[in-house]
This record gives sequence, C-alpha cells and structure tokens, in this order.
Amino acid sequence: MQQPKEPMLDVRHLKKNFHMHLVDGRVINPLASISFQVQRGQTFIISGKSGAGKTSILKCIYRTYLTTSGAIWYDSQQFGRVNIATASEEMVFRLRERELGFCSQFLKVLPRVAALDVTAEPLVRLGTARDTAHVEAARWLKRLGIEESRWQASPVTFSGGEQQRLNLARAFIAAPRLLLLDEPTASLDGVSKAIVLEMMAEAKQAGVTILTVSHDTESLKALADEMYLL
Amino acid sequence: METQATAKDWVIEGRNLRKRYGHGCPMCVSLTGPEQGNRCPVCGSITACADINFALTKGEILGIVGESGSGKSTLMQVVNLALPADGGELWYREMGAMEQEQSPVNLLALDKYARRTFRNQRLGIVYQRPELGLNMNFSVGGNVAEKLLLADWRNVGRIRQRTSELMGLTELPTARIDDEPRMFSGGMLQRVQISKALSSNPAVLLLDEVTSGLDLSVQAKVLDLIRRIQWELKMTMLLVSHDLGVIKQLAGRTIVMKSGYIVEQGLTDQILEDPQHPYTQLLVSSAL
Repeated sequence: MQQPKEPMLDVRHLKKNFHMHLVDGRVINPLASISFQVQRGQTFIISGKSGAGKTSILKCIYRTYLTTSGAIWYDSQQFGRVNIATASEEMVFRLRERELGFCSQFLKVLPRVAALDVTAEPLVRLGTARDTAHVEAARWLKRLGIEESRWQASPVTFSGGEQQRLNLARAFIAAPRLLLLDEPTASLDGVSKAIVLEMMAEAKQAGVTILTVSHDTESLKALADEMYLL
Repeated sequence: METQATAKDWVIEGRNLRKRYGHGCPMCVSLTGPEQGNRCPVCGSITACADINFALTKGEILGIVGESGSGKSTLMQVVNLALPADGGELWYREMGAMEQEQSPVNLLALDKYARRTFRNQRLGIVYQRPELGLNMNFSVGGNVAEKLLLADWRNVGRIRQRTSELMGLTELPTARIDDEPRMFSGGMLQRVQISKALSSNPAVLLLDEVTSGLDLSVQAKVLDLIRRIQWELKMTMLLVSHDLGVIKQLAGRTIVMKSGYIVEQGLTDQILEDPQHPYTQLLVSSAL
C-alpha cells in the first residue's frame, strides 16, 4: 500500500560515473552519493559551484544520463512509484511527454522548424490540435517577450537569451507535474528574469513541483522551499 | 507497489535474430564479437547479425547506426523478409480497428507465400540507391501501381488517384506521374521511392540510408519529409543510417551496431550525451 504522503521525487545514493574510453579509460565521478527528497508542490533548489555536478543530477532524472548506481524514485501519475534510473525506455518517453518538463541550459532543437512550431510541439505530442497549440505557443512567446516577427524563423537564429526563453516556454507549455529547470535565469536580462520568476511562482501556485539548478540563489530565494548545496 | 511494467504497444519485435554468410561452424559464436570482428577465423563465415533483439513501438522511429559492414542493412533485409534469417523470431502484431490487439504472428515461421503477401501489403522499404526500390523502366505511376497490384488493388482509376495523392504528400509535381525515374533528380527519386513504399499503407516503413549521397540541402528536405510523414501518418519506421546527424534529427531511440552485434541501445539523447560503449563514444566524438 502506498502511503498518502509519498515524496514526489526521492533520490537515493545517486552515483554517476563517466567512463571515458577514449581518454585512456579514465573514470570521472561527478556524483558520488547524492540523496534528497522533493515533496509534492515544493520548489527545490540545488546550488553549488560550476562543475559540482548540478546539471548531471537533472540529466539523470530526465534520463539523458544513465545512473551508475542508486535510485531515482518518482511518484508518477500514470505508473505509480517508478525508479527512473531503471525504467523502460517506453516509460521514460511517456513520463517525458506527460509529466516531466525539462529546460536545459542550451536549446537543442531540430533545425529548420519555426519557433512557433518548436514551442507548440510538446502540446501537439499530447494530441492537442495544431491550431490550438499554436495559439497557446503564441501566448507563451509573447509573454516571454519574443517578437512576433521572429516566430516563423528557426530558433537557431535567435540570440542566447531568446533561445533560453523559448526553451522555458517549451518546458512550461504542456503543464508538467515536475519541472526540471537548469539555470533558468542565467543569460537573461532583468526584465526577462522577472517574467521567468513570475512564471515559476504561478506554476508553484498551481501545485507544480519544481526542481531548479542555479547559482543565482539570490533571486530564487523568495520562491524556494528548500535549498541543497552541492 | 513499485511498478516496472508499461503498456507495450509494439508492432514488430525481433528476438535473437541471427544471420550468417557462409556455412558456419561451432566456433563462430565464440570467436566473433564487437571486438574480435564478424569473421570467424576458423571457417571464414561472416556473422552479419548476432542475437539481435529490438522492438518497434507504434508511431516511433527507431534508429540503427553503425559503420559499414556492421550488419545494419542485413538486419533491414531480414525484417523486410527478403533475406532468410538463420535463427530467431520476428513477431508482428496487427493493431486492428478500435486499437484492439490481435494475437502476434511470427513472420519467420510463415510459408513463403504468406511472407511475400505480408511484405507486399504491410511493409514498405526505401533504399539509398533508387534502382533497388524502383523499376527504372516504369513511370512513377507504373512503379506505385506495381506495389499496389501486389497488394491486391485492382481498380486502375483508384490506383492512379492513390498515386496522385502520394505525389502530393511527398511534394512531387503530379503532372509528372507518367515520367520515368531516369528523368528525376536524386532527391526526387527518394520521394518517388517513399511514395511507392507508402502506397499500400504499410505497418512499418523501412528506411535504408535514404539520404546518403544526397547534397546537404536536398538531404534536409528529405529528412523534413520523413519527419512530416511520422507526424501526419503516425507511421512506424526503422531507420538505418551511418550518420549520427540523421539519427539525431529523426529517431527517438537508437541501436548501435558493430560487427553484427548490438553494442548499445537507448534513448537517442542518452546515446548522444552519455554513450557507454567505447565504440559509441568514438562514433559520437567523430560526429560532433
């Protein structure tokens, strides 16, 4: 039987090694044994200096990285309690589609696809009609201050800050249950940063669990329920 | 309490598929491998596919990447039922109306007529070299008709109409329906092949190095077309390529093959960002 108060995310003794076969087979170990819990609806901030392995934690949770050992228990709406570290690829796909929102530090999108389509994609994947998804995407892009004249261009042509904002729009648009944000306020000017913080506050209000990696702890302090220093 | 199982809506599943060129010997298995190479030093047989396991889920694009001679195309031909396997099973599950699942069939256990019917009706393949997929002496209309006739279409008017539809989908000018393949450019020939392959509305579309040898801008357009087909038709595809760039743009999951063996498989972003096997690391570092 499940207890009523399961944490949304329960990371236990997470260890990540990189075995560099091409560099004389050496092993790099950014994460030795990380354990933390994120409760439902909480905003949880991981900070630490560059190279401490912050992003690696997020990528392990999103399964872009394979976990070397340890467990990442996630309380899924579709599947119940699952260990993301060992879940099937198919399950990870579904979690990504319906429950997890990930904003990486660098935008990686398909070339030649218009910004509006890129932003709308997570909704279209969920089965939303393209027109409706476009309206919603337009709303997010407008809010994040991306000029309408750019919407039909590929995001590859965008500036760093613009790419970052588009990336955030993609993470937020499908209303995920768990948001994984990698340095959401880095490379943004004051105005955009304020908008992003407002978006995070709204999501939090709506009950979304947020896990953020950032060294900009100053501006996130007001939102944070818990901080974890790596 | 801790669930692992998920709904498995697979369409095609290969189990321990094996294919060898040569008569083989008892030592073949132990003396070949991703490190040793695929040629048995005792009998000289080539192990092109060794115990290949994979499952294709409805609507996904599964990528297979590997160097020349890694067994990618052999695997493709085994799945296409054009080459007999030496062992293993290839299960197919039809998704009927109302998404009701029917009992799976092992395609390799069918007799050769049933296999041919299945290939004609439920599979479509596109090759790197158009002359493998097209009859160069027939027009575009003739080529599509060839496949549709094999899939039991009999009405000439409907076949022509279907051809026009497909030419529209693949952005070929419908006015050129009666032109022969030799009058088309390389990129257009791939579109003709794709039209032909899609004509019988296959359950799985097999793509074998379809953009290799095309110049970059044409390659981009063919890739965009494939992506659009996946979106619009929810087509399930198996995509073989030696080019990680192509795999990255299209495949959700990727299998890495070397000397006939699968050395690694996973989500494409994981394969690219956190490759585990030395060969995959080499491949990724060479591509980026």
